[in-house]
Amino acid sequence: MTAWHRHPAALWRRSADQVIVLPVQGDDPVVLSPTGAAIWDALGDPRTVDELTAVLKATFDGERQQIRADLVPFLEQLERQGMVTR
Amino acid sequence: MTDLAATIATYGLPHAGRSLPQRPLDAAAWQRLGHEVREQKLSGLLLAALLAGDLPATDEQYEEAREWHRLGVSVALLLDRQMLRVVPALEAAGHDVLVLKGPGVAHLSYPDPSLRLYGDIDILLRTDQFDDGIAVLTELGYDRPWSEIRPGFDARFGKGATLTAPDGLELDVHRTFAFGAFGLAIDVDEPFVDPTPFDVGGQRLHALGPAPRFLHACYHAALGNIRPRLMNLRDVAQLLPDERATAERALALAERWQGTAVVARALQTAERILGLQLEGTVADRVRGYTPTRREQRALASYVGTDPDFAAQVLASLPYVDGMRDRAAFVWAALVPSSEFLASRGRGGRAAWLRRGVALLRARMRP
Repeated sequence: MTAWHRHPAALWRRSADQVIVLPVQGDDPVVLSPTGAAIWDALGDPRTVDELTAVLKATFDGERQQIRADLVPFLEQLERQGMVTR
Repeated sequence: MTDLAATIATYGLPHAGRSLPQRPLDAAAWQRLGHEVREQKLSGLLLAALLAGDLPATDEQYEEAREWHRLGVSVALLLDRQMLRVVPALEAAGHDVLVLKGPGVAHLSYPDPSLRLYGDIDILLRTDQFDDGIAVLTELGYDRPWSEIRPGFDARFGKGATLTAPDGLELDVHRTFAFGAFGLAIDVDEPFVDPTPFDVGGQRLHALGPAPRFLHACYHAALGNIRPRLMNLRDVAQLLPDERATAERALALAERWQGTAVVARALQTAERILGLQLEGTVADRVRGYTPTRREQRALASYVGTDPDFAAQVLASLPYVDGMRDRAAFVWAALVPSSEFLASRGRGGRAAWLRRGVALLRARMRP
C-alpha cells in the first residue's frame, strides 16, 4: 500500500497547535489547522492512508469512514502544493 | 526596551530571575509589549510563555500573539529557502560556507527552532574566497547596494558585505565576526575547524562548532549594536557552554583572538539587561575581567558614548599587522572611493576628509 510522507524539501515550523509549511512550489506559507498539524506530525514517518486514519481516529471524534473520506483529498491537495509526496 | 520584554527574552532559561505578570496586561501595556516583541523577534518566546500558562492573557491577546508568531515564522521559512539556494551554489563553486546566527542557532541551540526567529541570513566565507563568493552571489542575482570603502577593503580588513536578493531579502556575507579591532584579531580560518552539520529541507548545511558559535553570539551581542538586541543577549545565555570541554575551548579561542574582553562584556550585558545570574566555567572565569587600556579603547569604539568610524579606525590600528597593511587601512579610511561615498550619501571626498580629520583630532586631544 502507498505510503505518504512529508516532502523532504518542504520547510516548516510549529506555531502553537498549528504547523506552518512553505511548500516546494510557491512563496506563500500554508497554515495547517490542528487537524492538518496532526496529520503533518504523523507524516514524520511514512504512513499509509489506513495508518493515518487510525491516528486521526485516536485523536479526534468521527467515524473512520468519514475521516478516511476527508483525508485522501486533503493529502492529494498537499501533494499538489508540494508539501507531501508518496 | 521594557523590563517585560527583557523578561520574555529569558523565558525558559534555567537562571532566569524575573517573574512574569500574574494577570493579563491592560491594553496599553499589551500594545507596547507587542511592538517590542515583534521588533526584537521575541514572538516565539512570548507564545511559549502564553501556551504554558506562565503569562496570562485575554483570548484576544492570545490570538494576536499567535498572529505575530505566524508572521515571524513565515519570514524565517522564506529566509531558509533563500539559504538553501545560496549555500549549495557557493559550495558548488568550491566555497566552504558556514551558516551564522539565526538559522544555525535556531536549529542547533534551541529546543525548537520556532522559538528563535530571525530577519536575515548570515553566512561566513573564507577570507581568501570572499571576493569570489560575492561574485558567485552576484551571478545568482544578488545586489550589493553599499560599495566597499575601497576595492578589496572588505576582503582584507572588513567584516563582510550586505547583499539584497531580487525579492528584497537580505543576505549578510561575513569574513570575520566584527568590523574593526576585534574582528581583525580573529584567526579567520579557525571558525572553519570542526563545524557542526545540520539538516534543513533535506539539505545538509554547516554552522560554527559549539565554542565558536558561543563566541560569535558574544561578539554580536557585545559589539553588534549600540543598544543590544534582546534576542542576541538571549543567545549568549542560551549558548553559554555547560560542558567543561566546550567552555575551555571557548575561553582558549577568546584568548587567542584577543576577545576575552568581548566575552566578558557580552555576559555582563546579558546579566544586566536580562536580569540573569549566569553560571558555569565561562561565567566564573570572565566575571571580574578587567579590560586592558587597549581593549577599553577598542570596546568604546563599538559601544562607547560616542562611537564613530574614526574611533574604530584608531582603535583598529594596533590590530592590523604590518606597516603596509596599516597604511592601506588608514588610506582607505581617509580616502574612500567615490562609489562608497555615493552609496552612503556622504557627500564628496573633501567633505569626508574634513569630517574625518576633525573626528581624529577630537579623538587625539589629550
